[in-house]
Amino acid sequence: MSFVGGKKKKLGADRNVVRYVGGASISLGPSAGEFEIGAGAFERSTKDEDGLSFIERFVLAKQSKADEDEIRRILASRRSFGKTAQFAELNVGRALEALSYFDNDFYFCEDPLPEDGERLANPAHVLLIGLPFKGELAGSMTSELAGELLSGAVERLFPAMHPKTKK
Amino acid sequence: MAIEELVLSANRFSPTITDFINDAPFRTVQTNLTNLEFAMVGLTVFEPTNSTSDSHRYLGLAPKPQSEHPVLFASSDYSDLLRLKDVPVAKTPDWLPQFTERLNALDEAAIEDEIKVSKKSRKEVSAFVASLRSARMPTVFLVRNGNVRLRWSNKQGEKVGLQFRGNGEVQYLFFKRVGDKFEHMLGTKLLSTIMPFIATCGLRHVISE
Repeated sequence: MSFVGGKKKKLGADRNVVRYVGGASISLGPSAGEFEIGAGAFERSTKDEDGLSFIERFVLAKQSKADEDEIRRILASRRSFGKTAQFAELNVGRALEALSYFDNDFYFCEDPLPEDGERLANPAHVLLIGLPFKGELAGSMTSELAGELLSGAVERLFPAMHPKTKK
Repeated sequence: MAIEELVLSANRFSPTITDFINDAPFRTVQTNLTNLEFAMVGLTVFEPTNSTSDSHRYLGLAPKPQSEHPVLFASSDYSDLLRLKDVPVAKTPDWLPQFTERLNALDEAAIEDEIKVSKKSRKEVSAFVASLRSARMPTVFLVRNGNVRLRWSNKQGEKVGLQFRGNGEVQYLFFKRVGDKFEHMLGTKLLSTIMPFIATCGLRHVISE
């Protein structure tokens, strides 16, 4: 694991991260083939323990498509993908800027995951520290506001299931 | 058919509306719009008994007595709202079948995402959207707590988000553009008052444009 002074290494503002977004937080937009992400995409799921889970881009592969495929391969060993699920990509700096409405100290930090049985190692795993808000239930007002601010910072989406494997 | 006409305080309307009703202190209109949509512009609808036919509703209109903003919008809004000439009743919004399909699709997503959908919230949403006539189709999501959430947004980044709690209350989250910044408004309202509240906040255009 990558530590600096006993703390996990923070990601720079120029880095990009992706988050798995299940179909419950995805809606078709006004234009054909266009998706919109709901605030719930950035609320705690059963997979989120110490913070919100993301995957850092271009750690697993240098080329964009290869990196996307590696993200799919590694995450598929750790969870099942919904048919309409997407990966939402955000820039770290702009995501933190979106959250600056709050006074909290948010940051993204490296949190590589080791291999665990059938679960592949995920050296690109990243946590967004500061969310979910402690003591807040899913769907609460502030939680929803944070999620809506982050959803507005999403720069692009790509399908969780590889288009060729979709049934 | 006997139509009960009710007092309309004409002097509280915009000039166009005054012209529209020819300064008459009483007015009855035929319309396909819902009470909620009239409420959005500060009008209270009185529906007399025996006032419906197969194809029209006959309504008496009056400014909402308690409203601090009886007239909130440009007169063009009223011309869109009030249709006096033989307008057939549109029982549901045109986009309702498409919306219902999307709502139903969330059931499968809920299983995949391990979310237990609140039936009460879902029921409230279905009734709410069926009452909308002059609104665009919202996007629809599930919240992790099982509630259904609707969202309208526009290209300026303004948003109207409504989470239906299933108990007659709506949790709202609004982003309103003011110059180059956004105001954020969040809280809860009764389901019955959320539409006039959206209008009061100056965000009606986000759901209807």
